[in-house]
Amino acid sequence: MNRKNHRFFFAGSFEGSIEEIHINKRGEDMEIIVCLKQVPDTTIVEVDEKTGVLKREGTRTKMNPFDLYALEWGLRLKEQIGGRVRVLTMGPLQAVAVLKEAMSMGADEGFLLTDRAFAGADVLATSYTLAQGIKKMGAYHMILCGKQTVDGDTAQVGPAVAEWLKIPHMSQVRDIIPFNHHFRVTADYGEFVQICDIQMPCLLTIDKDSCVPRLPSYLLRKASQEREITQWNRSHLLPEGNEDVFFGLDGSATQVERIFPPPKKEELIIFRGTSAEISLEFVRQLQRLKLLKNDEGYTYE
Amino acid sequence: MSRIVVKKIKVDCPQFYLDSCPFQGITADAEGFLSINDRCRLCKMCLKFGPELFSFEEEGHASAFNQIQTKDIAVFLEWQHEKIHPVSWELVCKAREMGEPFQQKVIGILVGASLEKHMDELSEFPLDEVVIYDAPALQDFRIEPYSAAVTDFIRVYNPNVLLIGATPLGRSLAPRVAISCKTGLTADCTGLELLSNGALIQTRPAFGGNIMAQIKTPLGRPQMATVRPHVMNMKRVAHCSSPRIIRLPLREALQYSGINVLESKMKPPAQDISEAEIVIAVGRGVKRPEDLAMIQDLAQSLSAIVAFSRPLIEAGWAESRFQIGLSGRSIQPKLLITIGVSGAVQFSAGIQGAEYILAINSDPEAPIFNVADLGFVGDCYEIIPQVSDLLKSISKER
Repeated sequence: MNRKNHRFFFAGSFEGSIEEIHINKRGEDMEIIVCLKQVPDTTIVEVDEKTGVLKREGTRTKMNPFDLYALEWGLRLKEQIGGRVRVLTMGPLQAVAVLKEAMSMGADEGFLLTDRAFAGADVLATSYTLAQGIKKMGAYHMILCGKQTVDGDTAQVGPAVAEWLKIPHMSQVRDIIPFNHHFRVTADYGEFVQICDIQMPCLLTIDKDSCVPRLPSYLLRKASQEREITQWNRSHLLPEGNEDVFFGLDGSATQVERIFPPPKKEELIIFRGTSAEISLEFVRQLQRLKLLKNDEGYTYE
Repeated sequence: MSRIVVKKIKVDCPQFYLDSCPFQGITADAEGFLSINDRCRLCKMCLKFGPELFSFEEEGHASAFNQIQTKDIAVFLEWQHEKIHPVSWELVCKAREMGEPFQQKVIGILVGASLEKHMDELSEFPLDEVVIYDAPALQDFRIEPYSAAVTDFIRVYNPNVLLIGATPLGRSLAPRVAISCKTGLTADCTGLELLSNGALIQTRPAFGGNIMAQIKTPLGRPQMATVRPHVMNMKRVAHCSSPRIIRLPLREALQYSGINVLESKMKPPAQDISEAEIVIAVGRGVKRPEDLAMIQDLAQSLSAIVAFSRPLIEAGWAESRFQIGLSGRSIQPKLLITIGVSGAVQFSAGIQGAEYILAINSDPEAPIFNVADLGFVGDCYEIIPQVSDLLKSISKER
């Protein structure tokens, strides 16, 4: 591939940066891997009452919107300090579309992990398969993931991949500043915010709205049509030696027993009475919703 | 490899079977023979619709899963910034309720630094035992030592079930522990049920909440689940004895982390209406800006944030970032209380994400009652002060 001779020197300032920035002077390219997922275009799924079938509108798919932020951070870091961004996904052949989309935004190479044997994977098997793919991709400084997917909504696969790779990770990252041998990262834990130095290599899951993802470029899109995507199946990802494997349904620890429609939203109840009665009932409802807090911040009934 | 097998039988109406698959995983050829394509996720839905055509061929699971006998329920007690997170209480109560019929012990795991001052608080938890990992390296949440401590606990105790709060910290920690134990993890459960054989039935929304899924962990122990705050009931369960406190050391090698925390600070409470958990929306039913005092009073006792409908913002009662609706912000609180809001379509467009809506309005015909879950027809000037008084008397009782 066409690799510019990226040197890690740097002039100018990062967005929201701090005074002192030491960029890698090892003359080594920054290797960034971004994990992507193809998700259904709509999350509105209904269960057919009679047959129990999931009814899903059409077959259109898109890139998991949360992954766009991870990709944008990867591309920005590449632009700031040089290196390359490789994108990885697991799924059926059609998932090539998200890799091409990432390439039309600026990603350098795409890797697709595809095999019927990967189907039916839970968190354990999905993260195992991705980690096996990453190991095969070679050295990296940083892995970026979206903070969660819109279809699975678990936010678990990113940290799970980090565990397989035995590297540190941080979740819900809002800001990344590269240094010589580490990144300075701001992570939002909801009730508190941490600013940390995290060593390389590491995995970061990127918070929503922590940047504005760029639009695909027409030229890059055209160029990406002809670019090859590396495809690996189960046999490519088998570990050396006699290690256990955790692919697909057979490598999953959990099993879906059944799916069913959620309980219907209750009908509107209108409450009338004297204002004293209404006030009492109002407070009762607040208690039922478990939203009253005492001084220590505990809810109670 | 486990797979779905299709019998080579010509079918008259292939579309019926194609439609039965939620993932478009079935293909039909021109002659009416069906086959499974690479979109199949082995959900086995097709077996229900064409048992004569489809069958599931199972291959043995990976042998690496932990198959040893396990018992008891463990709960991760989340400690950060000198506080034990309330979700821990909720999970302990749930664990107690699930475990009681089967005489399962409930064991808490507390990971942190200088935890001595929490001993009184811990003694009130309806727990049988609390296992404490207390080391300076555990002062701030850093993933490797935290996950090492919980994994070490599992190695020693072999619990059957491990519950973790689905807070940002819990969602970061739980998957690492699950992978290091090679076990299953179900996120954001809304229902948990323990069967007499020790199996944990985990219910959670799937596909963006439109479908519920029941999940089991037949292989791998502990059976791990995370639960979001406020999902489980918080009962002050009667539990006569204080938990036994057990301190376990975290080996030096396990205290290492590739993360160096420079700063960790609490965030100020949400000032953004789109992030708030409880929102009180005020509309034209509230007549004068001075009347906001009683609403602020209520908001304070509920830790709620006050927002407004468009007319009040236009009248200059508050900054526009506090406006709900099509031209304002969309909100997703757990609870929305509307006071004197009529509920025009433009307003309602901004509150679709609210989980539960309580509406107070003097007009029984107000459109707000069409979108609310519970409506109160009455005068807010009488109701609100009384509610505030009631809330104050409750908090005094505690």
